[in-house]
Amino acid sequence: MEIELIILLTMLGVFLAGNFLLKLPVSLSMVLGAVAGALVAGEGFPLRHFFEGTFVYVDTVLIIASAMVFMTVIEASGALNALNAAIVHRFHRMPALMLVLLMLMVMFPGMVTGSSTAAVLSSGALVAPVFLMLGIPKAKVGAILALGAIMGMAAPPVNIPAMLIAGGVDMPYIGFEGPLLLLTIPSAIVTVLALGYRYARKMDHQKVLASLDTTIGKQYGVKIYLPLILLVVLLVLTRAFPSVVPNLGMPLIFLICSVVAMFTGRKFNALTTVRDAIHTTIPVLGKLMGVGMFIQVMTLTGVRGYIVINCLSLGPVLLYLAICLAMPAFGAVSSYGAASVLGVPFLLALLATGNQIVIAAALSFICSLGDLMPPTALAGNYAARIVELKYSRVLVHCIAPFVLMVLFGLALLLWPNTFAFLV
Amino acid sequence: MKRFTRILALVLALAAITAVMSAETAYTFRTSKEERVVTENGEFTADLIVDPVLITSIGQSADVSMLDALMKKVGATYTFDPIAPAEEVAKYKTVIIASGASSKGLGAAGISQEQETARAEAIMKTVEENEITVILAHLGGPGRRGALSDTFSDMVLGKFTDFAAEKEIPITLLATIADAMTVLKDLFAPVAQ
Amino acid sequence: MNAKQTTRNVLVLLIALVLAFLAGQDFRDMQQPDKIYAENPALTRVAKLSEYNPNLKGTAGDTDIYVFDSGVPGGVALVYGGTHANETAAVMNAITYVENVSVTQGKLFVMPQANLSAFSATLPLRAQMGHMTFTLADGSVRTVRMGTRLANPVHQWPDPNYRLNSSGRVLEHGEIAEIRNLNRNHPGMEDGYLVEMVCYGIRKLVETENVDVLYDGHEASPEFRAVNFLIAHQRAMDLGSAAILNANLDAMMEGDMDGYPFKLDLSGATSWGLSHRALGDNTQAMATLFESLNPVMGFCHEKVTEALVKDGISPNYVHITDLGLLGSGELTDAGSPIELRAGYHMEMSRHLIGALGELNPEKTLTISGLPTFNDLVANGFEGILKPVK
Repeated sequence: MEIELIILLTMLGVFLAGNFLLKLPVSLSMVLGAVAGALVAGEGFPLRHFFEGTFVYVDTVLIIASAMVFMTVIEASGALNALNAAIVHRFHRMPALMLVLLMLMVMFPGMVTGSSTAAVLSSGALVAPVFLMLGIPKAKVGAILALGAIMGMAAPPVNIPAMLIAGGVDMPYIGFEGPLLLLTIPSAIVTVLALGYRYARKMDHQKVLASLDTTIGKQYGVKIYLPLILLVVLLVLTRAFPSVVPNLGMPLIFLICSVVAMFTGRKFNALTTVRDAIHTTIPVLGKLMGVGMFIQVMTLTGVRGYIVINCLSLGPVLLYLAICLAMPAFGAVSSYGAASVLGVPFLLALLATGNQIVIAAALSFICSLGDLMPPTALAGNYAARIVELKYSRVLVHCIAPFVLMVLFGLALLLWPNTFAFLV
Repeated sequence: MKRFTRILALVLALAAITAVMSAETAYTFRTSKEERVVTENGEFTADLIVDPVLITSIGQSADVSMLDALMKKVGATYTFDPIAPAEEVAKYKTVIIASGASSKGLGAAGISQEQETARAEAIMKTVEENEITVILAHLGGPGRRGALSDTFSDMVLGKFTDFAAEKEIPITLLATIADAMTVLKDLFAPVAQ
Repeated sequence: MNAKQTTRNVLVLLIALVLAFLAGQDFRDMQQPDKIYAENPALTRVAKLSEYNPNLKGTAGDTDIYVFDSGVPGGVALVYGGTHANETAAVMNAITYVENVSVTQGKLFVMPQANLSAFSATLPLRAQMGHMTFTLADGSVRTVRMGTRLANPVHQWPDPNYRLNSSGRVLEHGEIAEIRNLNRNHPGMEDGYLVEMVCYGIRKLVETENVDVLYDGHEASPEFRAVNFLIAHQRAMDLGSAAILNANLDAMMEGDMDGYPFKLDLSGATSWGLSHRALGDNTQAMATLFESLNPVMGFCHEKVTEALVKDGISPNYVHITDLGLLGSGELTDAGSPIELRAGYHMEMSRHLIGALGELNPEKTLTISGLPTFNDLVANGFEGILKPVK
């Protein structure tokens, strides 16, 4: 057995043992896996490499942390409640549209932070009661939240797996919006309608509205939505007019909007709210840092090259099969890890087959679906926790959408030039 | 579930069909460490060359510059014009055409792919009408064998050993670009008076 | 929070601080400058780039330039490496010049570490070795840092989300970090970001000293499509083709009938900010750039060992070559050792200098003293480099 395979199995084994047996957080389990891999590879305790890998995603960590603060703050201010109530009130006669809008609310935090967990924990937690009130069974609500959060993670403007894959081949993260929107929005719409429409069209509108806080919207009016409007405006302005609007950076944008939220809705204890936000997001931030260390050690020990070589040696049929199976499966470690370790070599292997941006977008989409994979499955596990069920019961309802989404991604991989007009 | 299974089967079948690759016929190298210059289907002799001589390019790859450097080295007398139009070509008795496509070269020359194709067609018409000797030089190696480069080579004469064998015209194969010196010296070096 | 939890938290923080301190030593080591042998009797002086852009004085970008002035009128050349600090063969080529070259006609400028800031950090996720070491015959050790592609963010931060740079290249979205890449910001700005100021310094050096030919050394991964290519500005195409031909003919004279795998390509008209385009368009110099093959720069390599980094031995890339997946960076079992790569740089730059005089006799730049390619490959840098006191 090749030494690289031994190292890989050791790293994965220690990671799984840490997470399952010792009940350690995913982040610490990854650190232990990385340390074990370095030891088995004869690298000793390469401290510099551990630190270097750990801090590679520090800018993403800042974005997620500040985004989480923002989402928690607007939840505390009542903005999300008001939005929930407004959507149900205005669109209850159009249940399909209402479901789609609620799904977009679930997706939104993921779209701006690149984190499915942020989506589940913020807007997902707020929209879940609405879905439940519509009569959708708990397990299906959990599935909607998990899949919606993942679609948000994969949707533009921030898709971290796509950034990682593009960065891996020195391709700029430009032109991805079209293919990613095509992949994510229809998938999200089909998912929420398939899982929830037959319940929603029978909903008791009065009963649902009674369960929502409709006073908050009336009390504060449009003012309560100002932080959300400001967020969209600042994001759009900095992208549309980069030569005019100064570089604020996403963390600062989120913090500015958070400060605004303190004055536009319900009063809340800022310190407690921010502390809760950080407390909630620490597992995700730790996961990113753990993944960084994991990948650094995989590169150092040759495991990454070993995986790449075995991927590239596959014939075309096996290659596509590996993409559809191995990439989501690696999400059991981390979808970011899947993007870095597998997404890059798969892109290399497919570079000559067509439009590279479409291919990279499709690969990132399939990678993102790995966020459903146990044991990590942060988005899935949190979604299950919100609906107070075991993840296995939620996962059952994710399978069919998952397969269809993988096939959708595969279609773009097989005919990338057909979709090149989206770039 | 049944419909889903059917869709899945269809997609997998399409994937399998799409994934079928055709095998290419393997090429046998003629040159070796011992034989660095191999000529087939006849000989290249100096009497094939009639002055004046023009060097031009079809495709505007950098290989025409390498050909220019080689010709300078052997002390040949010639005119170098990578973008010579057909009317200019008509003034010469021997034309060496370096084929190979380069988008950078075309861009630098301010020529589009379509314009270069039209120029190539016009040149080949002119050489036929004026009975000009044409030597096709492909010096870019495997890296200069993309679809467009091959198209340009086909427009001049044809690709390479297969075409030469079919038409029974001489072709010289070189191990490396520097080996071209041997051939070009025999053809173009000034004869001592 | 109870006392037990507090104690545990404090303990974890202390351990983290200790580990951070220990790791910090490694990162600090990267800030230590490399020792370059400067005792070559032919060396006229060591200049600083700030002589050509005073705004660089005292900054992390103020790199050394080694000047060899024969005092006899002739051609002028600039040979440099270290635009990307992880492309070590180009740095070693420049160091070889500094230690050995002698100039009897014309003037030669050598700049081993063009983006000096980039040498002070390593590339995350690439698990780089921080230094390349050579143990010389006398037992002393020479080391060269292997840094990153971009300037250290400690020296230039933050990256703007939009920059229309001096070349007309727009750096935005995915190219934001390229504001720290020397080879995207030529011809530079006198008072801009650090890297722009370094580029401006190089431009002023070229203009002030009337450099006729400049050689920018680089390395590339096997996946790159122009490995062993000389990229030349249109005014440098004749020079480039003559240099490649002469290099191959010389190799044949030495008994290496296969010569060098050098190829020529034209600098793209839209390669804004790159040295071969921007300096070629904005100065009188004939601008060229050469890429040698460095397997450790790719994504498919094995464990990061000296065999990979120094000797360029990578069975993975040999396998990928056999699969026919590479455009130009094919690798064999013999690998791509640092001496071979630096040797290619040396031959390419040496013959560019030679061709300068061949094509323009009034611009002859006569150099000597460099080891032969075969000597460098046979003896290695362990046998070529000189001990530094």
